[in-house]
Amino acid sequence: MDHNATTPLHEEVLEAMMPYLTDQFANPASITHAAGRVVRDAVEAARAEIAAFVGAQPSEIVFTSGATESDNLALKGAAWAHRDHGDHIVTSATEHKAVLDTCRWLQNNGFRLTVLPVDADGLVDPAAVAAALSDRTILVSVQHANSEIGTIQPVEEIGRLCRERGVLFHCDATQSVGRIPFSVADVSCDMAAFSGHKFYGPKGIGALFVRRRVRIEPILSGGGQENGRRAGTLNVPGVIGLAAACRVARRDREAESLRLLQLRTILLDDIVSNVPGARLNGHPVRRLPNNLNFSFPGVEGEALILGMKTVALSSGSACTADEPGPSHVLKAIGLPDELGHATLRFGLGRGNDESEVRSVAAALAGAVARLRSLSPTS
Amino acid sequence: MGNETAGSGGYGPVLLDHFEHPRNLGEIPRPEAAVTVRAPGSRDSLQLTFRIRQDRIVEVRFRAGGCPVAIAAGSVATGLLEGRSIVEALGLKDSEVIQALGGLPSPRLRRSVLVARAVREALGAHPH
Repeated sequence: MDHNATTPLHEEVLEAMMPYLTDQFANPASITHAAGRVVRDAVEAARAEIAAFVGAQPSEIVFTSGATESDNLALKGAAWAHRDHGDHIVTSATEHKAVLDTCRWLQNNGFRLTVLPVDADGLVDPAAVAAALSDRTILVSVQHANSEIGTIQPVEEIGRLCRERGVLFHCDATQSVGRIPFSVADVSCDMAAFSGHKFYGPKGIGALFVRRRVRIEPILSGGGQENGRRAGTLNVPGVIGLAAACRVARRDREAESLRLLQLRTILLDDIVSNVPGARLNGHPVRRLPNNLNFSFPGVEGEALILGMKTVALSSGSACTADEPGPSHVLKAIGLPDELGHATLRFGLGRGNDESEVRSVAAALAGAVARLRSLSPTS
Repeated sequence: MGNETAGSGGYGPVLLDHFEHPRNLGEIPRPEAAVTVRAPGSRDSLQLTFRIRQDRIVEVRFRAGGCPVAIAAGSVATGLLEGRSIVEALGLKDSEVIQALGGLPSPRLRRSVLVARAVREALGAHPH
């Protein structure tokens, strides 16, 4: 039940990839021979399919190793290419570390950074984005949906105002592509990052949408692949797998979203009814259909996960985590440390059904009650 | 976010056993010594209550809150403390508790073992 971290490979995706893991191994850049041209054609067909899935043109898709690289390429690439026009970057406090840490890297390398706060539900205020823009602002980066608390940002509004002000807008859509509708036209973004493994595609493949005529500097130098925007031999099985994942999502997403929403409602109702004091984090409505994030006062997240044994979940903190204390997202929504330590994320997916959700809720209620009963009375 | 854990969480069988089946849980009514300590900046806490006869610990009970290590350490500590004289109990080191748990997957988890501090606060001023 940790599908916001990753998802298993869909059987149709694996089937589509298999020829490119075996017989069709040619380098798509090797167009001097037929085998290379066959693979190149397959890659370009995949590119077209992926582009169509997010409403882009094929030439606007750059393949990467995943969303982290896509975010790095978008931010470093655009900042570097536009450094003659300004030096100011705006982002939000609940971005993924791939965005936040990259923005901080840019800050350490001569750019100025504004990190906008979010409200208690995790929402960025578009008016705050507008107020942060100056004639030195070159780039705004706001995620579509949050990986921990599921909150969906008003990116359409933010994209519109960036366009009106002539500022580049990058949208980290890693949690949303394949899960909820995402269109680069609706969001008015200049760049958008996503990856395959969040929606039943393979790990190790991602893409960056770069709108036509938007200049970015490559962060990897070498063979000039991807029109000079990302050097390195293409991960062909990954590209084919990403396209297959888009194909499956195009067919199944709407029905699956509805199913997950129903499961999520059952899980939420069961938790609220059976665990006294449970507190929902993130926006109650504007959130990913598969995500719940709860704090359980009086217990600690890792002990709770261990107490539930067979369920794969993710906690908002752990005493073994590299980041001590609650995550930056939980801190940004103002959750007290006391509750941040007692937080679990539920990420529903294809493999989950109603009986599993109900048994998780029951196991959770039992584990919370047991842990509370162990605690000191004074 | 955080570390992602399922099943054993990387902990050994002894620690897991004490976490799942804590020994000597609860509190001694009208104890000769009692203490509750909390680790700063985390949910980890440990309560110990002692029955002491002729400068010797004859019974210890614990309660603990927080991460699995804090709970398992409280449980295993009761077995280590029972039968010790007060002087011997004050000599108990957290490293012995960790050893009795079969070790920890990360050295950073040491901070969840609050036993030595709790014993010092409970028994340090006790006549012995």
